[in-house]
Amino acid sequence: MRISTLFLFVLLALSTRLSAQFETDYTPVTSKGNLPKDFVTLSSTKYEEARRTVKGDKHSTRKTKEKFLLESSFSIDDVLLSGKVLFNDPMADYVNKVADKVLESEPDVRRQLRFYVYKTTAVNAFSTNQGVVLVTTGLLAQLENEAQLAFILSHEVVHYKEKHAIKKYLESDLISKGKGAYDQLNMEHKLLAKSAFSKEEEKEADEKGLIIFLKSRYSTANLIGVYDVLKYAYLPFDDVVFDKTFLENSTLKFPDDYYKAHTMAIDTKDIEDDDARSTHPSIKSRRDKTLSGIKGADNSGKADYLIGETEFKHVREIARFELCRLYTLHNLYEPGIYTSYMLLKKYPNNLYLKKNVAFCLAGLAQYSNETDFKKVHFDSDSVEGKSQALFYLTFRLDSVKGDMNVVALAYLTKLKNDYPNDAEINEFYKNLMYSLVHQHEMKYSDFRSSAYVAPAHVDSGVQAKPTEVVKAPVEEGKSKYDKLREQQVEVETKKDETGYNFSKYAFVEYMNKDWFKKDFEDAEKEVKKPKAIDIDFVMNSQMDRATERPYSLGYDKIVVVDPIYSRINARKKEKYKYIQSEAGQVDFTERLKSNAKKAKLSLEVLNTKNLQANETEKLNDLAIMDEYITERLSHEKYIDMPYAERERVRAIAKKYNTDYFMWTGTFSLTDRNRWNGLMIMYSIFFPPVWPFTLPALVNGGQYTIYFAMVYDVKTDEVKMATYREINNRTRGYILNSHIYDVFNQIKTKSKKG
Amino acid sequence: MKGKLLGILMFLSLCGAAQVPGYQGLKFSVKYDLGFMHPIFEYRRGTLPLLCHNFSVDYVVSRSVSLGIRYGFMFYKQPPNKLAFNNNVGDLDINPADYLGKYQQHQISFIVKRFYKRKGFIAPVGRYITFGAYYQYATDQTILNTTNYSYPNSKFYFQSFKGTAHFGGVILGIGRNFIVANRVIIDFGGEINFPFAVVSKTASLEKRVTYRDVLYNNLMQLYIGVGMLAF
Repeated sequence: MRISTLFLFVLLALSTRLSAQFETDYTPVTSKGNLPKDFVTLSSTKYEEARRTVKGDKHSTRKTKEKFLLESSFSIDDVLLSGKVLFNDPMADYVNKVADKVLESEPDVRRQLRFYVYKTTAVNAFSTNQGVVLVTTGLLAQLENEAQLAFILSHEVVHYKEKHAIKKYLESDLISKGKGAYDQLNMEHKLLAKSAFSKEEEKEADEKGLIIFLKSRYSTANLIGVYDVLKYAYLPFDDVVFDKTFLENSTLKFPDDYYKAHTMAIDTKDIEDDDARSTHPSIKSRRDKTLSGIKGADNSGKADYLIGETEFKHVREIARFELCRLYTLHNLYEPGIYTSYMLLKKYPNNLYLKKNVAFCLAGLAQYSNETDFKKVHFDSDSVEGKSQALFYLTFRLDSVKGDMNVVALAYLTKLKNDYPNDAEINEFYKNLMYSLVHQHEMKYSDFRSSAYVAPAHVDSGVQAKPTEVVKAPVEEGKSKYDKLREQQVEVETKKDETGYNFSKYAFVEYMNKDWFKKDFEDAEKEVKKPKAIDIDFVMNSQMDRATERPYSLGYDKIVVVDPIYSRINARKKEKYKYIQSEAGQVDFTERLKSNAKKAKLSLEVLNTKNLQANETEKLNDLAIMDEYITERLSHEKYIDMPYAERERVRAIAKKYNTDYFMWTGTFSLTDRNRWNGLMIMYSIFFPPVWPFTLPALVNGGQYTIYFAMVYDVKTDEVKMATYREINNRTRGYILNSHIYDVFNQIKTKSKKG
Repeated sequence: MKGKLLGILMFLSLCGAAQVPGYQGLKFSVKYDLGFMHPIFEYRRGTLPLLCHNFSVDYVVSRSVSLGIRYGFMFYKQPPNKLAFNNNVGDLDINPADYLGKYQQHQISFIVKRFYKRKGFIAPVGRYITFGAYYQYATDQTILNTTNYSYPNSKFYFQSFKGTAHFGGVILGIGRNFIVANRVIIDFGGEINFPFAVVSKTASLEKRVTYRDVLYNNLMQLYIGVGMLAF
């Protein structure tokens, strides 16, 4: 009795501690400990090791297998080294523990497999031929219980054990080439054959996965819901009513028609087996098959949770928190708000979630300001479930220019009031304040300092309609366009003249606060300098080498993030040269280092190749910086949007003692020679030139493309962007020449200051 | 002398743009080129080319331009000079011991190399075109001991002569170089010279022979060179 009480106490304490992690704030998870072998071995080495196992087949089959191994080794490593794959973090640890339980009866298989978590909003899991199993955060966020995860892992284990990936590749190759049983098939039938083969594999994985699952100590009692997880993967992790007041404040009230009380119901119909073109069998058939498999299964001594419900829920919560920021960084602002909203209902004081809502609102506002809202807005008519109300609300807010900006700023003003020292909140707040003042030309005096009092005959939130004598308008002498212009002016001024305009009452609570007034005044005075470099302009203009002007940045240190080297032979069927590219990347990195030394520029390289086991932090940093640049470059140049994870980026900048980060790379390209026709003609009429033209015709055109971009991560300014096409084979000395030139320009200080 | 050279280099560096990278910061190079000139007139030497030894220094002054000074030296022994005899003699079987023919040429050139920036090259690496001006001084010497030869119908125009020639001219050329071991330059290219000289119509035959030799020897040059990036 005493032991069980103690156990309960420990469990309760653990549970409280775990949930406390989310109460006030949240820090995104990163990988910990030493890098696993999968991360430190070069892809080419993995390929060579795997290739040695290919024996005894027909020459053509062996070649196809080798091709598969080559492509898969490199593409899997691309994912693993993207920094989005987590290991030794709570989620990956948990998935590994569940895998241990699932494969208790198959220890040999367990030893061959490595389980990681992939940070993405997609709801999926996949296994590779090499024994890497990835479970996405999107999936973890949606699962109902541990047994469901166990079943999914069992399914993936079968894919690995049965070598489905390589079999599918070989079969697809046969189908594409129309060999064997696929002789005489037309394109349509080839496509169907590929889908059929893929479905067979999925069925096999379900069936054999169930056998593995049933051998484990996991219960089948609540397993079948896993198919609902798959079926409704396109929906948020929950379906809760979106409260209109969530984005309102005591004086800012949206008109009733901005809120969709009756949202589109989620389509719960099961789709029958019209899955001929799909790579997976229909959910219904899979569910039915599994149901018959678990019918009568003995669940005695089995449970939904072997690791523990508390840990499962904790991990699921982490996954859900991760989703919020993933949506934001991928410009999926509305799903970002809705996911944060659902979590805020549970953790109303969580700053991370509040900030995430603010960032998403700011994103929507900036796109709305630039009349580019469709780029970030989901068509609300196509959204199923209760979240539709939010999509509809943002759609309505976008319909009047500036309203989205006001609503976002109102939300941020409240946050600034509550967290005055938060740098990220302040940055977004100032950004929106500036847009309000300069883009919408709104002044402090345009906003009301007391709440709206509705006239007696008007309900709050409904626009007043003053009584007036309706006269026939004078239309004589007016053109159609004059009338339309008048109508437009009338619409724009109508709100103010006739009654409540919610945007004017957005800041009533803060109008009397000195800091708010001062912020307004500061924004009015502020004149933003144009960004140092317009990337598009530089990229295009610098194609013409003659117009390029050298930079003189005067920086002492830069950090190069994940340098790229790609070898492409456009004349070959297999255009991308994986092994040469990897070797080139290693060599390119060394050249960066040696040239920086010669240019007396302090340099650090965050590189994914040749990582050492103790360089987990480096990979984490690289992931954050890659996410940063991906997000930055995802916006159109006219969108002035601060970065949502500025503090994490600043921490990295501080760690490396520089604000300047560089993204650089080289493409080594062989293509058809541009002057082939001319050379042939010339050679025919003037044969002595054959010794010169023949090698050129055989070798093709050789081109080297080198680019470099330097970002000031403190200000988000592009400080340097250079794109260089060199009409020559990629030689070491040519690369050195350009790398040094770029580093020299970074290091050299302008005499003008 | 060293001070003057440094002064010139400093001046040249100021002429360039603010950002003058060189190759990994190395802007100054020394180079030896072996030039091959076609013996247009000296056909009796067979098809062997005339060899010219060029020593040059180059300095990168901008991202696409380098300036250089080149000294070229050419020396060869002439075969029996047909013009020394009248045209009726035909081929003479002259004992080499009785004949001495020497040709010497010194050339100083100022060369501007413009690298193909449009093709993506940065001085001093890659393809380039050459513009330049040169001054040339050449001597052409023939000494023949005629005592051992008696040809009734032959007439010796002269038994010996020494002619000198002064040429100026313009150089146009193309070439490319590449760098190995981060220091060594391998260079190859070709040039066409446009010589200019003033010779009086009443000048002696010897003088005119010399000018002709110099003119034809220097019309075109192909070269291969090796050099080093110094600093």
